[in-house]
Amino acid sequence: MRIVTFFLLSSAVFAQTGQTGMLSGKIADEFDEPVSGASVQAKDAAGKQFKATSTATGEYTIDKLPSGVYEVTVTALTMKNFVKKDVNVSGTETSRLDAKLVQASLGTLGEDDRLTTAAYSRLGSTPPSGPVPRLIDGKPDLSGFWVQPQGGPPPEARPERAEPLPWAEAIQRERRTSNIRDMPAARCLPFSITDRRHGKFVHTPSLLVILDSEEPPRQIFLDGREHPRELNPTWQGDSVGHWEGDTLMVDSVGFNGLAWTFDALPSTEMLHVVERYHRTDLGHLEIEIQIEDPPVFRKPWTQKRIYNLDPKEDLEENICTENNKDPEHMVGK
Amino acid sequence: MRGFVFAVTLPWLAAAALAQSSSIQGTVFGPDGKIVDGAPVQARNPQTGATFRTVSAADGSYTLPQVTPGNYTLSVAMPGFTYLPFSQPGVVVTAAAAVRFDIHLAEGPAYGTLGDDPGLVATIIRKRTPPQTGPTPRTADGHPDLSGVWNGNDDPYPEDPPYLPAAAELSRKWLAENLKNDPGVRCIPGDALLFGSSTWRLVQTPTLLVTIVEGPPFARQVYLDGRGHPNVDNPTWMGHSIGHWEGDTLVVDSVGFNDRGTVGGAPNPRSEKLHVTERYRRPDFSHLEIEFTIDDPGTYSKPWKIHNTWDLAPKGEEVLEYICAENNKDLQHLVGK
Repeated sequence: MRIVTFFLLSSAVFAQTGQTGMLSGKIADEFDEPVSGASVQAKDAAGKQFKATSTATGEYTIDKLPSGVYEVTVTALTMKNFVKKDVNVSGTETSRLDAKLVQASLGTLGEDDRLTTAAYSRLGSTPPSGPVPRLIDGKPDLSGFWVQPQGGPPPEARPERAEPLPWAEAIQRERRTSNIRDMPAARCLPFSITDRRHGKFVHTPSLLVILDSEEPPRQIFLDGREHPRELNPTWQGDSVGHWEGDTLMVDSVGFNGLAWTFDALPSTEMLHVVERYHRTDLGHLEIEIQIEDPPVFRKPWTQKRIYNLDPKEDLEENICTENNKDPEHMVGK
Repeated sequence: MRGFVFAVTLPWLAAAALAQSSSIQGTVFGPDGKIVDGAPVQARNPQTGATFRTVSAADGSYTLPQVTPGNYTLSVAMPGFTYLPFSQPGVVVTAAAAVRFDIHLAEGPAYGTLGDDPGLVATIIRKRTPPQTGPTPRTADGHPDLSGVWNGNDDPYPEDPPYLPAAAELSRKWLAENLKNDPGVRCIPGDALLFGSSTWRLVQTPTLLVTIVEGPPFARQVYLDGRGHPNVDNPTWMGHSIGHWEGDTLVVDSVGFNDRGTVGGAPNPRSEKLHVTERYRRPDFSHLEIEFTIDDPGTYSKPWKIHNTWDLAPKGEEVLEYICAENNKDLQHLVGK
């Protein structure tokens, strides 16, 4: 548990009435380096919000701020939130509030989430537009490097609320309170197929392969076969797909019950995943995922995710087992 | 454990003149004294380069007829890890002589353990499935379609890698310590080539060839879209691969390898100068021929080759999920010497 410290460097408050004032200041990190792109939000007693974003020099200004008392929150990628209550803004004067943000991560280069997140935020940020490309059989071609854009899914794609049963919730709670110490990926074991943020799709009429630098390739058979009668349970299960119009329906069973599904929830060998892949245009892929696992969830639940095409992006070689330091660092609590 | 030669001494019978033309014949035995069928037997005259090849029959016997008189190296490299490679130099064939030479294979590191021997598994697969035949399938753009699930085979007649002295020394050291530091032991994709006896899936699109592998590196991409190699400032285990068509042959060019892995087998070191050329041909429906040319002036005195013939897997066989990092026991078992 790291200690969070806030510094209110200076604050000049001038009382006047009937006018609008300004709130400005500078956002820096613990090394006094300016933090750009930080979101500064001033909320009045009625809950009304006024926002600004810090510039490349870390400066921000919220102007036309009615006189009053505000709660100011500063958020930035990978930094702990800064909150300051009872900030007075009066008259036509400019109030000043500087904020020093503290890294939420350890700050070592390899773990500098700011770098990672900044890189990720560029991923798929400007997907190309154009018509849906098609395979020789006329079906939409799902090939490409797809990435979930940062900043969370758009409102219409917000995940449905999962309703895990008490035992599953208890496991989820235990995993969260132990700082996800035992997560499979820390030991170079696969993520759940329900929890993939990006991937390179290679699509032929009889096969869709989803590649990811850190994961075993996922093969989705489109040649009309059914699931094998005798399934050897695996991390990624057995996936078969068929087309319903321009939507590829993918059915997956045969999981080994070891993968963590969304948000550190457990899974069982009864996990059944139904995905609907729909490429809406050249640059966008919608995937609706229905997760059914009767021992874990009260009822099946569905998530809709939108992925952007990033034609400039590709897989890099990433050998997890090479000098893996995760287990010794993930000490839990 | 491919592509290297062990000198094994054994008693052998002297030549006996039986026929007009010269020949070498004998029987191949395993370490338990049982006969070994399907053993690829090669006699090569190192002076002239003359090479004669055959495969041992169901009773373990082999015959190399009409061998030009000379001094031969007789060798057998069985696929997999069941037997050590066999090599006997100095087999003299005189005019109009039938030389009898029984070959006794020594025990390899995985003798008799089925699950540990991909070569044995591949042999069993091959024996139970007669190869399908038919024309080469083609993609819409007219090129051969290499897609499919393939049961790979080792090169039955491997060349001796022409090691430079330092590489020869390193290779001897690795063998002496039973390959205990091979990257594969730690689930790292140590070899630059995707070759030999394993199950592979090739997925071909007009712009990309993907090889899917059971275990690390899981997949390799070969770009067919006309791009070149990037300026490689970050050498990797698998390098960077681009391909183009020369008639019906796909030529794959790979560079950008790190110098910590191997090439074409666990005893073969490599340097960052490694340059691999692969030539893929699908001569009919059910066979794939791959010629690997290994050019690494940092390790070898001249380029050398490996030849693979892969068989189309029977319907229903797939590249399975294999998570090397899950419960890996190699490290504790490969204790070295």
